[in-house]
Amino acid sequence: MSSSASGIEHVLTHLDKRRFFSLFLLSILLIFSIPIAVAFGTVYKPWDVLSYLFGNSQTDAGLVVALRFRRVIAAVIVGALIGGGSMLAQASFRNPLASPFTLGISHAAALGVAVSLLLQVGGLGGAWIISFTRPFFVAFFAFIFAAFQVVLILLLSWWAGLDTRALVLASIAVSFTYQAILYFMQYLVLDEVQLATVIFWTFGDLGKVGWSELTILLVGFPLFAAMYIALHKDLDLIVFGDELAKASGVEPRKMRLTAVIISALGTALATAFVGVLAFLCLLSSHVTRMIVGGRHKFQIPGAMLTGALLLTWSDLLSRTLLAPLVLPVGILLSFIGGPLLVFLLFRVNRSGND
Amino acid sequence: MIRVRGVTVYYGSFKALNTVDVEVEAGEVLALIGPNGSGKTTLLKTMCGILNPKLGAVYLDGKEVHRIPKMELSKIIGYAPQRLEVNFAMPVLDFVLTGRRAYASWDYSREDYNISLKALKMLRADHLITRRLDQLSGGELQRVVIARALASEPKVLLLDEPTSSLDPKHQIEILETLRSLSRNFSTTVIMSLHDLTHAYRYADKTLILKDGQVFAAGRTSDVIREDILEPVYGVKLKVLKEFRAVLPEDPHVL
Repeated sequence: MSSSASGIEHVLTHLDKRRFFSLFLLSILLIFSIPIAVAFGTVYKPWDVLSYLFGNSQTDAGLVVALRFRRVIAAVIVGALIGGGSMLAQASFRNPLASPFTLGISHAAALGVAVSLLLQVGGLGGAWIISFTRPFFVAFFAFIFAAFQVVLILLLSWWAGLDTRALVLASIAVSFTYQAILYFMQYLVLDEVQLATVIFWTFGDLGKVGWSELTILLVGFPLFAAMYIALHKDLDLIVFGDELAKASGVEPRKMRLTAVIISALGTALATAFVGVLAFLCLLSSHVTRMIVGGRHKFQIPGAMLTGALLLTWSDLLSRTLLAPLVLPVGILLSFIGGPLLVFLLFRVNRSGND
Repeated sequence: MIRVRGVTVYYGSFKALNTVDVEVEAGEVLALIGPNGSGKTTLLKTMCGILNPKLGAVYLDGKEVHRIPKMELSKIIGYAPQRLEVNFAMPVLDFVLTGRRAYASWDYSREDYNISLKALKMLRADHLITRRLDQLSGGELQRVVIARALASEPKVLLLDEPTSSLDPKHQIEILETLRSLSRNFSTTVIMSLHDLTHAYRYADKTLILKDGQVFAAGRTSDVIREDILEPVYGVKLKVLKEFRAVLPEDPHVL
């Protein structure tokens, strides 16, 4: 017994402690990244921000710092929602290439944006103005369409047995239909401004988040974070196949249904406010597997932290690289993330371990 | 302990099991033998509640298995599949811990860790504890999968070809471990086997399946007989009583 106890200490030292340390390190990095991301920007440089904080500065510096802070907090929450959601989706689909966007959320949400723009045309005089004065309305439509898509996909795949293949096939089939409707609208119905708005929306940009949006994100985030993490033990089981899960007391269909709904709604919430950031899913979960690994108890918080870090830094870069031009962060994320992911995959394959 | 009564299982329109009856007492070792596709795996999966029989039922101490809540059932019946889908690699210890899902509340406790380690030790796989599943050999993975089934401390162990990818030394080790579990802890062991010698040596009872039906069942020494085995497998088999072994006859030696 004493030998097994010492064995356990050894294992805890080597596995769990290392993972806790990784999570701790990621948290520290994130905490330090927030002030850095607030300090740098197009108009006011870090020294301006510092001098404002120490009380001797221009009047509008406060506003800029507040707006930047809002943007950075939005990046942290959206990154965490998408990062954690992708971990859930990948475990449910048992596929490291899956993400909540595999369900076709992005297409549905884009269609929602287009529909919201059209609906406003009638009485309110110009979608362009509306989309800037009431962006909330657009986000609402994007979320409703995405949520509807999730329900539709789950119903379809329920009839087909709710296995992973049915889920993916149903998603792809329905996404193409959405895409066709969207293209049709883009081709025949939408005017240039509306077209530009829809396309800009699909880029994914944190500038769309205002105070009211941030409030909703702040309220929704702890809820989703808790639900993400609460599923950790069952996610561990479901990655090894339905039969093993069933033999261990977990009903795989029910479990997959729960995980997919939670991850899709979490991601839809983030997507509705900032647009499509699909690449963040792949990147955050792969980085997490590399540096944290193990059970989902560690991987889900890891993916949330990694997603938040990646989005915060990508947004910082997108604001500063081509200053005074501010790039949509989605473009930068894919541009830098693509090569980075290829590099990571090759490195892992060559070294053969984590 | 476990009674299978008139179980019929379909895959679509294919009848995989046809009115199968089995009876196993606590502490017995039962070998399921039969050609490929005869329904051994299907029977194991039906016994642990993964598959539902269309007709008939499986009873565990008199209670119908499909009416026992799955979480409770998983504490009583441990299942080790023949192969494991490894889509995401995690270290061996984490995987074995998942065998204790039914005992864990918010997270796995120190006790869960200790029992998982004990299970790995029992299968002489404790040195693999920090290795990732995708870095194990076929035989190592098989031992880890069996350790995971043991980690739930089940009264009934169902194993699907537990020796299929092991070298001779580990084959003997695992079979000895299973027998000692049945003798010392009254664990009921039900395993499908292709090696008839293993069945002959280690099983108290043997059940022969052919085309989803019970061809013969009973005490191993009554069932493993040349006149029974030949029509099942379609080859001539020699039962060597003095070596306690079953071998195919060599057509080139007269």
